[in-house]
Amino acid sequence: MKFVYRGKNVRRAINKGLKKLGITESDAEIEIVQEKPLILFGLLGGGTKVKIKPKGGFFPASAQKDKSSGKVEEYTRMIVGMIDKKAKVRVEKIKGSRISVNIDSSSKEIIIGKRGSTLDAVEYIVNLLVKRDPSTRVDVSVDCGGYKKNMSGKIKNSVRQASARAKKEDKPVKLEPMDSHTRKMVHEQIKSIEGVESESVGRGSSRRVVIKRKA
Amino acid sequence: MKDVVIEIVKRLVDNPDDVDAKEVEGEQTTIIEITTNPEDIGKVIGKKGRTIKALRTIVNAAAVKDDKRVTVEIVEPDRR
Repeated sequence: MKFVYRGKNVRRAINKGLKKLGITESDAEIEIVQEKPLILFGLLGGGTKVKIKPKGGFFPASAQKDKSSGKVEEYTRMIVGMIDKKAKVRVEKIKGSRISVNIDSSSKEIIIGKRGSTLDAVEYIVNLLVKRDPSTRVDVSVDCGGYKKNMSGKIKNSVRQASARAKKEDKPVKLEPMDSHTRKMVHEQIKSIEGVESESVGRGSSRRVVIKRKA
Repeated sequence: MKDVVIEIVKRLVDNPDDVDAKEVEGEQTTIIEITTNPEDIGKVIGKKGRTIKALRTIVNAAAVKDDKRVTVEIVEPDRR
């Protein structure tokens, strides 16, 4: 099986293809089919075309997923094992390239940490390890006893209340500081609420969302 | 704990054989001193220190149970 991808230059075309196929460059045979400048931003053709063929044939996405789940569990267990050797780690959901793992333990509070800081650190390191491993191509989301799920419910509620207040009292309402993923989620939610808009203010770990009435 | 830190760091670097660590016990704080190949120091620190910070957070959480403080430092290898 062969796949052709188009891009502005060779690098971009190759990267696009590798990403779509979920493989790394060392696993692919790459052939440049065409190398021309784009005509009118690519609207009229041109650009670079590359042909990518996965080495050793193309293995189905599901097979890759099984392998990834195992690795993700292994890495998470290794890291969380430092905190609680008896912690249970299980893959709960696989959606596209996103894998959700849940940790069950008798020391949940320690694994979660202050405002989820330890859980975030665990998730960050798991993702680093997963990215360094050529056999896995996934994004990992790590939860502990449904903490994140509950938090996102609570955050949605407080966003609804804060939006109502911003509208009623016609003044900006500041939310608690949040990490970039959460802020993105909040901005998305606010787009769906009528009469209010949002922006982020502050720097680093104190960056927070402000909700304002739409002028 | 030191061994797991070594395991993690080995997977982050290009020269895993050069990774080593030792625990230095202080009165209140234990320091896990990591040595790596000089080329790999940046990988262990991470962008804006994110990786080393995450490692410290996890190691500290692990130490909370024993009422201790543990931190992770990267030590430059001797250049003689």
